[in-house]
Amino acid sequence: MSEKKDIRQGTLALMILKTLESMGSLHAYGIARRIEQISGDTLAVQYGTIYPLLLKLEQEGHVASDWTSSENNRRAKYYRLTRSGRKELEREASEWQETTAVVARFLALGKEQA
Amino acid sequence: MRHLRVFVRRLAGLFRTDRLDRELAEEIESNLELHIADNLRRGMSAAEARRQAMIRFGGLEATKEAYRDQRGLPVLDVLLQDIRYGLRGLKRSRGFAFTAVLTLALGIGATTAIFSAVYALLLRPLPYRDPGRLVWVAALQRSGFGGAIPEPDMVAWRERGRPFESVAGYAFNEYNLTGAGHSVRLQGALVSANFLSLLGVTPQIGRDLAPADDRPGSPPVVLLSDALWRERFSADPRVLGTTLFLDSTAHTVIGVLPPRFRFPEMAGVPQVLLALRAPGSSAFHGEAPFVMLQVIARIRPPDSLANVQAELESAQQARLSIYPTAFVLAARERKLEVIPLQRHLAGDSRKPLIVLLAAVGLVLLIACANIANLQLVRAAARRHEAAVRGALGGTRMRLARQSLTESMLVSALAAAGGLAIAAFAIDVIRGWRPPALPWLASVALDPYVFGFTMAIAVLAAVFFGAAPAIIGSRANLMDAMKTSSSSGVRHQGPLRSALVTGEIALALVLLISSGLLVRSFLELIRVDPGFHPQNVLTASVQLPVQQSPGGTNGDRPILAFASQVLPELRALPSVRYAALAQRLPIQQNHSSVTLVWFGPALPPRDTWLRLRTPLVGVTPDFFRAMGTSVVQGRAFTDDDDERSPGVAIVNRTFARQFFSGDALGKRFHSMASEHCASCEPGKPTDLLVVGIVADVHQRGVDIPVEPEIYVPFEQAPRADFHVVLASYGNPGALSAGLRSAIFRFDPHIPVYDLATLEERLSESLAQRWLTMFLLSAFATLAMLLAAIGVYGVVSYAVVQRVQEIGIRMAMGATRQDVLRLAMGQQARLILLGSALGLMMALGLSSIMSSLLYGVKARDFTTFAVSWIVLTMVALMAGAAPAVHATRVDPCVALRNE
Repeated sequence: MSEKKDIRQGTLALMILKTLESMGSLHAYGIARRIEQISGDTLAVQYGTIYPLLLKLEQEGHVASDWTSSENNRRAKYYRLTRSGRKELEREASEWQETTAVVARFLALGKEQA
Repeated sequence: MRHLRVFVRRLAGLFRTDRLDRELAEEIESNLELHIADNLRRGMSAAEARRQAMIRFGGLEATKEAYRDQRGLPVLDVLLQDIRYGLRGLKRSRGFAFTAVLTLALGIGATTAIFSAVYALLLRPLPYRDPGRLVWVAALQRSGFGGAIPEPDMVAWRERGRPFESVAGYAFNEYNLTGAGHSVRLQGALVSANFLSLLGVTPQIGRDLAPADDRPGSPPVVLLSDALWRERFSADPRVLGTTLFLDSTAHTVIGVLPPRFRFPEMAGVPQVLLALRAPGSSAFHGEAPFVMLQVIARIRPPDSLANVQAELESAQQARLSIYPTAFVLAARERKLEVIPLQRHLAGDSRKPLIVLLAAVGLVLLIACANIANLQLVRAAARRHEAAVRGALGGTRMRLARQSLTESMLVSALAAAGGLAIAAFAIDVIRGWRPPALPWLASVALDPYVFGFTMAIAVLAAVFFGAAPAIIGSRANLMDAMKTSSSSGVRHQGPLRSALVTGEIALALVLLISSGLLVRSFLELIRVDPGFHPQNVLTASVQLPVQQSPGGTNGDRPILAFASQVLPELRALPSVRYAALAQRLPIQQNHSSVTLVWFGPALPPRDTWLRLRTPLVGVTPDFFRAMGTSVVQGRAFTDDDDERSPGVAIVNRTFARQFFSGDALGKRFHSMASEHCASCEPGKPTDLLVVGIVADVHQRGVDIPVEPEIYVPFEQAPRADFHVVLASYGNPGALSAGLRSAIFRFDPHIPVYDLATLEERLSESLAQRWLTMFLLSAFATLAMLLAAIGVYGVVSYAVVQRVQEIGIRMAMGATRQDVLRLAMGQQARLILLGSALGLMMALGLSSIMSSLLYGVKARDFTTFAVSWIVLTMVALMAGAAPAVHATRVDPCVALRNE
């Protein structure tokens, strides 16, 4: 477990938003598990960070939450994407893509020179 | 927008901590269950599933902490935490909290109360349109009196269009209102047609004066005050267009002034406004009389007061040539002044108020210094705590903020207390209602005053909290942890001593200032006013003015009144003397003035100004009733009537000025008397001086006496005069008898302004008394606070040096040596502080000088006595702990530590 990478700062919010977009409504544990699965278990989500982050997204109005009963009748807090969350996801995703594209170009440049 | 929403939600998060905490716990719990269920599905044992899940969730407390930081506003959260901590700290040291809050509440309360008066009088915008541009234009004599301006001058400024945008004039007058209901005496004002529009005031019903109303000969119209409209006409709007008889002349009511209208004059509350109806020409017509007016004006926005003043003066210089000869001299002796209306309305209350505000500010400063001292002691005692907190990772900033929060807390509590004290004080002030200071009724605790209180509370907290915060957080961890709590805090000594030195200096300044005022007041009440105010009731009477005033026949009813009513008044129970007089000291008079000259020929016009002398017609018992002593010669008798020779009594100043004191039996010419053996109305007569009386301070004991002549009432009757009743007992009880005696003569005669002479005299001193009283109270408070400061510093120093004292005593020091040691430090503080204070007081003496009477601003006695008193009090404050030091048992002191 210890060789798993921590998530780069700022990207966890993006991952949460994307997860909620594809999964619909989900609880915090489910979100964390989902992110770990998608990463092929190479990322470790710190539960300590996911709650405050969800709260922050909620305060910003990107996600909303309700307490609902889950499978096998267990009550849990479910998060879902709001309209502004969808927009935020779009914005952040395109920003991320731009950034990675630029960084990739830089790295490629370095290799050519070397 | 989003930031705002986040902020609001986080703010809300601050106050729902419990619920949100529970929710998080529940959420984590449910997620943990989900995780365990997953683990079980993967085939772990129940115990292993739980263990793994717990590991993955990590430190629960850390998660909660992070969650909480996100939930609320960390800054505010910390603040709330600090406040809770501070409250706990204050609760733990109740003595400190109580002393600090009480001292500061007194300081803040007194400052707020004085500021509310300053605000009401000097700062609150006047209730007019754009009041900042309104000015009072006055022609002031060197003595500071006067102010009235000839109407032609006002017209000239208006026609010129410079330096003012607009100019208006007014003059006070009084009227007998007759007709429906009982007759009353009304305060009135004659105003130019643009008067209200210049102020930006419109009548609540009816119309404003129009230029057509202002021309001489136009039909008389009148505007009513809201109060008169309500009292006399039951607020009936149908009063418009009806006729009012003022001094027997029909006036049409054209409008009612708004309820909140305030006439732009300190003492004036006119009930009716009439059109001026003056000639409206800028030229003087030979020696023909002209109207003198009070003038207000509006200046244009870009013009400064100085510019306007300069322009006005140069324009006026050119007009001197067209002045009537008799007036040129008077005009030369006057100086035109353009004064902001607000300052004019503040009158002579402005200076005392500013001095009082400064004084109370100093008291507050001393209170703050005291609290700072207490805080420093506490900071020293808490060095250990601060060091431990520092060692546990509390940053310096955090520790300082904590300490400052505590100070703010003290300040906030004190501000609440201070507001309560101020509200009480304002209530007392308003309830007092001295007629001499009518504006006091408008003092209120309004939002600006409230804001001021908050501001000084914060400032005070910063002032007394800054030093302890900085020093308390500076604790060197190693040192603080190593040493015990009682030693190693010497480095605070200089700061604390400096604070106390400052306190002593400021307290001495206040003590000297109040001492000067007290001495002034003592001087004032020692002045012989020229009469005995005890047991004298006075009232004003206005007989109906006849159609053809003047002339022997016009004066008949006045003489009839005197001969019929006076015996009735004298017959009232407990009355010693009854008299009529045309002028009384210290009250509104329409005093007449006459020209006095010596020798047969009328003197040249340019000397007239110096020969104009106030003239008072009095009945024979007047001097006895007033207790004014006849220094030489005799008083008037019943034989001095219209058939006997013209006689006069002069005051001492007159005798000294015109006859070098030897006036008895001399004669002078004047137009004073109209009815005597040799008199003819409208012609000068010569009068024989039959007596010299003591000088009476007519305008107040602090104002010098002018030459004055008295003539028999019957030889110079006037329709308005005062009734004077001297009694054996309480003069107030005579009011009903006085009224009914006059109403028996004619029920339509207004009798008004009833008051005892004593009341009037004390009213005239009300402002000086109040200033003296308040400043003395502040000075006493300052001295006590400074004494507490000295006590604190000395007793703390003694506690700190217990060991040293113990060693000294063990080495053979006597009690006297120890006492000298302990008192030495204190004496240095006091000497240094009072030296500073004396210098400050000397520097400030010029500010005080205008408030003083009969005492110099650098009066040696006052300075010396104040210094001695303060030194004694401060020494006594420090003596107790110093004596305590001599009782130190060396064994105990040395074992300590």
